[in-house]
Parts: sequence; structure tokens; C-alpha cells
Amino acid sequence: MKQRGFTLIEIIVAIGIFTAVITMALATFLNISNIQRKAGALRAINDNLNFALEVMSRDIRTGKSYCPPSLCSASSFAFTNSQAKLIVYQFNGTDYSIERSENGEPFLRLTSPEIKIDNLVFIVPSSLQPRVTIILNGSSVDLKAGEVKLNIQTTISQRKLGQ
Amino acid sequence: MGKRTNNNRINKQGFTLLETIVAIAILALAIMGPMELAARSIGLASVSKNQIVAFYLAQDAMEYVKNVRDANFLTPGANWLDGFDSCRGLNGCYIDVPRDEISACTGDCPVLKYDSSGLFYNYAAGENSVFTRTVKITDVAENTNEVEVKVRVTVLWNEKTGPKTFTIEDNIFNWIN
Repeated sequence: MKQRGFTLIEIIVAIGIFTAVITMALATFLNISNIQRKAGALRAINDNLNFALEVMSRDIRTGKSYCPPSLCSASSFAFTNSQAKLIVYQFNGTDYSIERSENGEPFLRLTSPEIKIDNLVFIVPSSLQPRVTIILNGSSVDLKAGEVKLNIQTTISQRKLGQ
Repeated sequence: MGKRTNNNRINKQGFTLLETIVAIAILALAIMGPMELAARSIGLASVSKNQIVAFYLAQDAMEYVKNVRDANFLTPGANWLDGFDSCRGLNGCYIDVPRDEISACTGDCPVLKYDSSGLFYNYAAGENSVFTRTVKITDVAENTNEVEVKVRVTVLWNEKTGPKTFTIEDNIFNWIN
């Protein structure tokens, strides 16, 4: 009995189709995994920066005595909060975080190590009614996620009227 | 015996072109489905990112307006709405908070610039950002502007899916007099 196998052409066509389909599928899954990573990095930055800025704005808005002499710089901001405690927010350029200190106690970090704070700037103009403009730049520490950056700016005006 | 011969005959026919096309189409759909979902999720993540920036930019202008009003309270003889004339026009105004300037918009308001060396959103230096911010102050029907006005800050930007806006509206009061 004569055994019929596949012809060379059939094998070539079959392998060709198989390769094409597998390449397509593989590219898709690699792509999805990249996107997943990027979305994760983006979410981490969104959460952290939003949280840090939200906490700072609420604290600063209800506070008073912005920037007592020699306690502020471009990247640190001191004030008295609604519980009459001296609060300092500052940028830590060593581990790229935002830190908060209460009444001279050690600084505690506000942002997670998942993300990197590139810069934190406080602009305190000499206005009749105190206000501070905060500029916050964050990026992802996950280099494989590609360029993921977030730049936020907001202003906080003291609620208590007058200096 | 006859049946097996019949089977062999059928097997030898192979796939038709139609069958192959349908099979590949199903495969492609199975692959494109998750791909589409992933692409949409990254798109939404970008929207939420810009939305956060827009929210804070809107708050930026709103707080500035309140700050100027409070400064007017503290200035003897000043009207509580001093400095806001250009915001009460039809086109509204744009506010450069770091530079402390309020200017009237002619037609559409200019696009906010982002100064990466100065690290802030402003109108004088840097590259154009995606955001346009308009501040409008209008009278409130039941009160004259001696007492109460409505402040509306709108931040507009373009997403791949189309334009998006974020609006904050607040009524400020002349509570001191």
C-alpha cells in the first residue's frame, strides 16, 4: 500500500501560515504586556501625586503664617496648620520623594518609592493675602514602561483673611 | 470497506479557500479583541492623567481669583472686584498665576505654555501645552455684583478621542462689607 505523506509545498505553506499567525499573536501579547506596564506606571504616578498635592493643599489652605523667616526655600515650605503645629513640606533630592515634618519631628515621606518626584517647587509671592503656587513633577521609576511623566501646578490661597 | 474509501476521498479534498479565510478571520478577531481592549485602557489612562492636570490647573486659577479678592478686602478703598474687569467681558480672561497677571482674551484664550526649565504653566515662556484655560466672571441674577459673582474656570484640551473640558464653578461673595 502506497503511503501518501505531505508534499513539500503543503509543508511550506502550512509552516508559513503557522509562522504568520504565531508572529501576530506574539507581537500582540508583547504589546499588551507593555501597555499593561505603562498603564500601571501611569496609575501609580496619578495616585501618588494626586494624594500628595491633595494632602498639602488641604493642610496649607486651612493654615496660616506661611513661610516664617529662613524656613522656606524653593523646594521647602513651612507654615502653621489649623492645629497650631509647625508643618514643613520639602522635596528630598536623595530618594526623590516629598516629605512632611510636624513640630520639628523627623521627616516622613508622603510618596511611594514606586514613583520618582523630579521636582517640587513652592512659589510664595509677596502678596497682601498669602498664597503659594506648587509645581510638582513626577515620573516613573519603571524604565521599561517608557516615558511616563506628570506635571501638575496648583495655587493655594490662605482661607484666613490677612497675614 | 466502501465507507473507508469514501472517508479517504473526503480527507484528500483538504480545506477550501473559504474555510481558510474564515479560520484566519476568527484567529485575527481573537487577537484583535484583547489588543483593542488594551489600547482603549491606555487611552483612558491618558485621559485620566490629563484630567488630573486640568483639575489642578482649574483650581490654580480659582484660588488665584479668591486670593485677589481677599487682597482687595485688605486694601483700603479698593473695590472687591478690582482687577477682574477683563474677566467680566464676553470672552473672559486668562490668568498667568506665576507672573501674577490677568489679561483679557480676544476671541479664544491662548494656550497655556509649559516652561520645562522654570517648571511651570504660564503664558510667556516655554512650549505650548495641550491646555487652554478660560476664566469668566459673571453677575448672578438675584444679586448685584456688589455682593456676589459667579466665577467659572474652564480648562479645555484635546484627547485622541476628541476635545475634553473640565469646569469649576464657584460663587464668590463680598462678605466683608
